[in-house]
Amino acid sequence: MNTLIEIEELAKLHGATTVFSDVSFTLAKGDRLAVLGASGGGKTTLLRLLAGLDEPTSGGIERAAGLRVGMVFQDLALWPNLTVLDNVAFALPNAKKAQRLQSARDALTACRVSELALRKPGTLSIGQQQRVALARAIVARPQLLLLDEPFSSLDPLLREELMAEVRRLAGEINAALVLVTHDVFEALALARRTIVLEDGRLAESGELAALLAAPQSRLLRQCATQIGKLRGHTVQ
Amino acid sequence: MNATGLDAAFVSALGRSLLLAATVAGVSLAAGWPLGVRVGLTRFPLRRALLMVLALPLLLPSFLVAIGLSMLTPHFDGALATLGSFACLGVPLVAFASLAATMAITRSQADAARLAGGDRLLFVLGRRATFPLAALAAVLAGVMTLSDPGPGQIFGWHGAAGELLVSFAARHDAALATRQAWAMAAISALLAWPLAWRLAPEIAAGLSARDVARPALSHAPGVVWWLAGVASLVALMPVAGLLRPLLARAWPITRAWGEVERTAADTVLYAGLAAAIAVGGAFALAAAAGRTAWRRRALVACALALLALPPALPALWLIPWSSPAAVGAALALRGLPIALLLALRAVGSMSASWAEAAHVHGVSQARFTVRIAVPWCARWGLPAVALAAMLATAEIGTVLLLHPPGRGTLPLAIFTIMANAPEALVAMLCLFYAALVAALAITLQALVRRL
Repeated sequence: MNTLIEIEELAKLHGATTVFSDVSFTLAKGDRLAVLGASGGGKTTLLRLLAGLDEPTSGGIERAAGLRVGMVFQDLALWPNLTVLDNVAFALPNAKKAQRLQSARDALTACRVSELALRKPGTLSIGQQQRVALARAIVARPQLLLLDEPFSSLDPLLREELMAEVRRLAGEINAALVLVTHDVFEALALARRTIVLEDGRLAESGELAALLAAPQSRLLRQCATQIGKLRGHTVQ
Repeated sequence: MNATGLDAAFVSALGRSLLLAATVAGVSLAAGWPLGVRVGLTRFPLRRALLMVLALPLLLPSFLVAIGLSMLTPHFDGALATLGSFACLGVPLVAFASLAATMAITRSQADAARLAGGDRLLFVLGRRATFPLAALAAVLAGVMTLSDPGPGQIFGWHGAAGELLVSFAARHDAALATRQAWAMAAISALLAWPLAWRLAPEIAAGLSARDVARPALSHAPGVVWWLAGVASLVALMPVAGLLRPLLARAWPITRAWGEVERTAADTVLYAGLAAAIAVGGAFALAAAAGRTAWRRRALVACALALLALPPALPALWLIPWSSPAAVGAALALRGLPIALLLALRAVGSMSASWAEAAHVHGVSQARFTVRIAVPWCARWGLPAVALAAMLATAEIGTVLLLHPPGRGTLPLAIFTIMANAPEALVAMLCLFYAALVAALAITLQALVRRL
């Protein structure tokens, strides 16, 4: 059984406001899913439901037994009073101390920030902090890696570099990956499958290149138009 | 007695006290507000050290400042001296409130102001932005004088708080004292609570976590003289007054130290109890409020309202249960407002996502609390403990009303003996106390910077 999460007719309301309703999809091992949508469209809410941080108003989320989840938060959520090494090791609460520290060092090495182990997060650049947050998310070798707009505050070069790291690391630990973003290029770079949340419902889903060829949602129509213009400029 | 059960002498004294309170508020605002804004937006040599000196009167009992000023010259007495003594507390209070309010100004706002009109415009905008909080601090400084008998007793000026003390200590009429305390509480509430309620949302927002860049500080070396001048007037002048009686004679160190030793256990006990209750309660309330905006606003409003109330009121209510625990509980109310503001800041500065990150990665709530939340809150908890303890120790009215026989604090011992003991001994005791408070403040600052 490869299914990690199965979602059926999921709905979330904030008070009387419907964030989204009737959202269904499944996630299997090694999946790479992008959740696209405009700001305030319910992307982060959906990710929080997947992480178990919120409860849905209706519908079901079925998780595989003992599912290990790692998450990179939008604000990174690094614990400021712990060193980088302790931040990563702290995400392995059930391991013995020596093993915890060794795994944390391995994760830091994998994310290429091992030299920062003894520094506090507040002293790092934003790019370094992103890598530490990523190391914390992968240290327990999660089966499901959740990324909440982790690249939104980065410049294009650093963003490209980190996306390559995420692709590599997710492949190495064979984790399913869910990326929440409003940037179609991030989705193209990282995901094999995309769902678009619009007007409180799942507007379309599938392989992103195919969706862009015949877009149903306003968001993807606009993106397709911009990509077309960009191609025109490039040709000229 | 009139229809409210208050005698004519008290009503007359209340009128004088209100006039004094208004003058103290005006002087504090005029001197403290522009200084706080200037210090908040500029950098200059000795900034931190001078701010420590400026803070000293806020941590001392008001009567101790008054003793220092009274020893400077025998001609300094009456209403003017009482006003000067209270201004020594009011000016730093307003200055620090204004300084804190400048921290809400972001770098982009400051840059926009500088581009439009240079540093001059920045200071004008800074004064406008900080006025509400400065005004609230000035009103609080004025209102707090209503219930403080210390400086008036020393300078022979008779106000409402002095009348209350006479009703209780000389006439032994607790019922009259309670009525007088209620009257003062009602007036304090009328004066301070509307402003506190109006500004609570702004203060609550300022106490929450904000990821904004602080403005680049203008280099203005001249401000050092301004701050040094005010700090000298409000802090060093009283200390100089305390040194004057010691200049021409031997220092009564042994006798003073004996008095310190005699009162040390009870001083520490009352201060410790008060700090534990105040800080424990404050963090429990702040944690219960969490990040809910209206709860945080309500707590800020309550803290400010409590600050304006006469400390004698809960003490009079607790008289039947007079004991060290009752003293601690009543004194805790003095430290609670500042502890509450710091606790709200501590809880507000913790991002909600820290706990969520712990939860997602399998860290238990208990482990998160012990390893992350408590150490993080310690940087506000430690100052809260120290400030609550210092404010509690500085409060003599409550101890005077509630302490079991023979179990007073060092400030109460000074207050009790000051009329009959040699001037040099009183001065020595005051200096001991001021030195202890200063040492504690310096140690605390160093400790917090390392956290």
